[in-house]
Amino acid sequence: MMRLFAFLWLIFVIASCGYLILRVHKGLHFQTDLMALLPREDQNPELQHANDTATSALSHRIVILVGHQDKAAAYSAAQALSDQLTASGLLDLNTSHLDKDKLRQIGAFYYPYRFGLLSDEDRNSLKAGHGQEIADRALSQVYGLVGFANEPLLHSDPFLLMPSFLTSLPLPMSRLSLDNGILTLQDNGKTWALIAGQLKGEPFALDLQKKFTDTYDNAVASQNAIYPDLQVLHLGAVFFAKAGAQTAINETSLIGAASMIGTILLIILSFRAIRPLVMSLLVIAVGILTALAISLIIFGELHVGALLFGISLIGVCVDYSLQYCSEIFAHPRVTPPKRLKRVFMGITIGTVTTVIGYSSLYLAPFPGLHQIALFSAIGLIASWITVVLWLPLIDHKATPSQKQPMTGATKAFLFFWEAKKYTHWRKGLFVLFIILGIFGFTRFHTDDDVRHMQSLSSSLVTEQEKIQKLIGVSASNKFFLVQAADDETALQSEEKLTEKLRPLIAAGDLSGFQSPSQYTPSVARQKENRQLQRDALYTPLLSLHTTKLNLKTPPALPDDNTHFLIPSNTDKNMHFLASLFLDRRSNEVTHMIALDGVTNSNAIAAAAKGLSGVRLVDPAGDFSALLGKYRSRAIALLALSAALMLPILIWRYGLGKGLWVMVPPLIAVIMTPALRSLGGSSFTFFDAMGLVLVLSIGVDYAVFCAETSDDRKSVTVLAVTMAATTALLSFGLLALSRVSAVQHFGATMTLGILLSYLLAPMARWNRKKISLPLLSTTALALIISLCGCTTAPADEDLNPTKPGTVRISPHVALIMPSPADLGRSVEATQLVTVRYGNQDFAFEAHIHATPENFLLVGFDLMGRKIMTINWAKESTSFETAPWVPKQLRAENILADIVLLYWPDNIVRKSLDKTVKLNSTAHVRTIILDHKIIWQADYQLKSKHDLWSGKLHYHNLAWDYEFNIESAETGR
Amino acid sequence: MKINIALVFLILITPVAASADDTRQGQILLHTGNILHGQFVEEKQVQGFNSPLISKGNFTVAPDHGVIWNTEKPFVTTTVITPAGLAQNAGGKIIMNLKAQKIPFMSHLYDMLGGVLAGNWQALETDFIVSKSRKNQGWQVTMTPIRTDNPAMPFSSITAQGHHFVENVVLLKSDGDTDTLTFTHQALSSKQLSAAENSAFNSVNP
Repeated sequence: MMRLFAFLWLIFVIASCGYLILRVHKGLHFQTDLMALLPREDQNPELQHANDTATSALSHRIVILVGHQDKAAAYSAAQALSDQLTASGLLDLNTSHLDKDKLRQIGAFYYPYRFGLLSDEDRNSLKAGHGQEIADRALSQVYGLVGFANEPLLHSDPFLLMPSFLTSLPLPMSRLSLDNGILTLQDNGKTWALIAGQLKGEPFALDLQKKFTDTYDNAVASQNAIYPDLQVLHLGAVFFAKAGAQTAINETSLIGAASMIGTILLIILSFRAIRPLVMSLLVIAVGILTALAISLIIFGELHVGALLFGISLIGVCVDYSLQYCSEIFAHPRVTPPKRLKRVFMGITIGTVTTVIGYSSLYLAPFPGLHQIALFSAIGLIASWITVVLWLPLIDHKATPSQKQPMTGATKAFLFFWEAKKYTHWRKGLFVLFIILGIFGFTRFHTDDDVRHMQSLSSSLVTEQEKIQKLIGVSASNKFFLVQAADDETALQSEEKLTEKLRPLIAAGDLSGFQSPSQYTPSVARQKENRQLQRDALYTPLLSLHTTKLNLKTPPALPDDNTHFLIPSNTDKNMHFLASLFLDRRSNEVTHMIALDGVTNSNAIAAAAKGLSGVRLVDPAGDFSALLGKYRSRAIALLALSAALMLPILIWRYGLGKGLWVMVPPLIAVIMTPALRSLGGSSFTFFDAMGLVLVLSIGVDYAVFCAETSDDRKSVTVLAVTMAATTALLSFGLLALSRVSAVQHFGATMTLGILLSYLLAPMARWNRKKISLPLLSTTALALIISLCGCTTAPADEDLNPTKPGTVRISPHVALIMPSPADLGRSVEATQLVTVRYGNQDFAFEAHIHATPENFLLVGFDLMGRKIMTINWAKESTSFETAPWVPKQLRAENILADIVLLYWPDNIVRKSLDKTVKLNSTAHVRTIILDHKIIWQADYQLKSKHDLWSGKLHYHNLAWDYEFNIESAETGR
Repeated sequence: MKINIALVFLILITPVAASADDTRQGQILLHTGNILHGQFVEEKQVQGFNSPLISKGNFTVAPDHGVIWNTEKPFVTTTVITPAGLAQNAGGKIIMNLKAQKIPFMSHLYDMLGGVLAGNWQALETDFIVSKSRKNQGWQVTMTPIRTDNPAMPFSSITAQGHHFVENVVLLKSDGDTDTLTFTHQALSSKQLSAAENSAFNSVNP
């Protein structure tokens, strides 16, 4: 019967091989786009699409700077480099068509629409009624020292608004100038020429990376041969991706080879025979081949990352062959089928639990993990079948070639776990575990920042910084996405947004932006501009202006034509705009507003508030948030796979003992992050994934130990030792990886497997009744502490302030009570002096408070109204004059007033529970973590009236101070 | 404490303006070397407040030095404006000291003022329509901005009345608020500045 199954299995394996050969013959292609391995945000496909388009546009961008002391050399090398890259068909150059003609073409393109186009400055001037200034400017340009206007131009554009519009178009690279069609800049005696373009192909596809970087390297090398002093700097996602992929592939092959050699050596040394090695390799080979064949049938195509990772997981299946092979040491002269029978239960339960563990990877949202999960599960099952059906048949050896190796060590190891005399030591060990565990978890912290997970090549980062410094842009991967039903709506939203962004540039929150609406104003804006030109310029000023210009024929008034500039003809004529006009579909368009030098994301995000379809995108931030979400999910996965394994263990060992088998792997799973935290490591998604595997492997070891009989236990422990050694070889090496994500995974796996291995003999206690209440409490305490730590990640402090609350320090929010909570009506006038850092400001505040509403109007010392706060129960409005220092935030002034004047029980109720409010007749303090963060001192005329007298308060968290002199005027 | 620069401007120019116009006969002119002392009451009508916001104090105008504006109620504050800039003092502490260049609004004002002092009415009339009339044996001047859409112009009209001196000024703000100033106990002297006045003028950008 067994022979029949073995034969059928052989046919199946041969069929799989045949299929593989067929596929290889047809040209087996592995997916190499590393982006495909990444998780997808599966909530909103529209948003995802827009994000993808924008991210892809950014990631295709290539910038190359060619520098040389000799200008001619730099130009010629740049030209040659551009030619070679274009010839390769891999790069679409943006800079090649930049000549005077191109600029003229852009001018010519805009020309027919000129009456609808105005630079922001001109527009504001006209709106403010300063048309005369524009007319004067035109005159000064005509009569001035460098007058450039000629009669035809003046005739069609007498106020020279077009040149003003064209020069106002945002140039993203501020330090560059155009020379002979080459974008160039001078720096430190060197001339740099810029080559910029879009990669034609996926920057994360391994083959394209190689092709492009090879072409690039060759081109640079050939120019370097001509000009030895030539310096070429490059920037682009493809270079980073190539460096990253190179590291990963080099490491994986090295680690794979090293762990394979280690495993082979271990088996040969342990058995002093070739046969166990052949059998183990056969088991691994069948596992990989069938897994590959079936995965290819199911997925059609496998990702190279999944393949590499899956193979290393199947490496675990060597455990089963080792279990079988080691059995020869236990009872010489026992037939192979009997040996199989003795380990059968162990490896079967081991396989089932491990397959459950690996399959749970399928539930993680990483597409790559789906492939890994299926690939590993199939491989493990195939390996198990091979061990069960084939090994006894091909194994004819009756006696081992040598005596059982490492008997002393395995016996001592077992002895520690089983001898009575070590009871205290064992108890001590667990006490130590509890202490280390508690200490570890107090230092437990999570890290989801994707920028910490990658290991960006440092030389490339330096180069990137140098380029950014040279061309005058600063790194900012953040951008606004504008989605709307049509271009016109999108452009109008952009116009609203850019109006809010402009003051932020002045405030230093960002250094610049490029918005589609700057290149193509909305039709509404164009109509408005036409009206403005007509009303504020042509009608009142044209005749006098014409006389002053001495034009023979008077220029024409803008006629009321119906032709407007629309995006579909802008991007046809200026293809560099493609990166801003991302996508146009029948019912939706997507635009991007590129941001330069963002230093204050919150202020930028706030600018988009209330504009529908506008969203600030921070790809790194979004991805980090996603990793954080998946980290929590991985922990849930861990719990789920433990729960799925339990029924099998309970079925086999009974309730109590079945649970007991789970204890060693669970301790390993809990202690691993605790010990890693002790060492200062953070807990990432990749650690969590590692723990899922630690659980499966740990349960394997525990099951092997639980299954074995007293007379075979040293052989089992030997096999587990060998298994752990091979696993440590493959995963331990990952811990040395330079890729932080891999390093986290490897380190967690190493520690986890080591602990699982060292604790595995505990599982044997389910056979003899060694009852140690201390142990169960240990496990319980550890599990509770784990739960406590994982459910309280430090994600909360990133929460934005909720509506109706005001932050009074970086960590403390005040929920605004209602005006009625003040408990009385007040009419008061106050003289307020404020200190922020070393700046002073003073204003007079008039307050009118009733239970329904609280009104504060502030005047500066010139009598100008600077602030109006109108706070009613349902709505609050704040108005501040534009010249008010931006640190003086009306919201915070109102919050401070509540803290100062509202009854202390109300204030206490409205503050976060993390802080303490102390309130006496003369002092109010708010204390966070034993530190005063806010303090007010009152010098009142009567202690019953807070509104008459002087007071001083200091916000220590944000370091500002207010002195208030208050007088009640209503009484 | 609140001080409208435009107001100071008015106080300074109206006596001078009278010399160019006979509608304000009997008005005392302010000359170099003269010092005008007086008291003021300012009533602000601000939307949302039931009763007007009132402040009281005294002022000094010395054409070759500037203006000292002392508010006594509800808070003691002093504002000094000179051609060099502006200084403010509250509770014995200097809380603001700005050079004129930092307040473009103010330098524009001084430019206009300079023009008017030189008998150039046009400087004022580029921004305002000025209408003058007789009233109760005194005079009244109403100024309305030529452009109503200028955001830098916070007034929709300014009306000043007086006999020998400016006695009453009403400022209508574009946002609907009203500011009424009443000047009393005005007296002209040709004495030297007091030590306190001297030090006040010198406190601007020492």
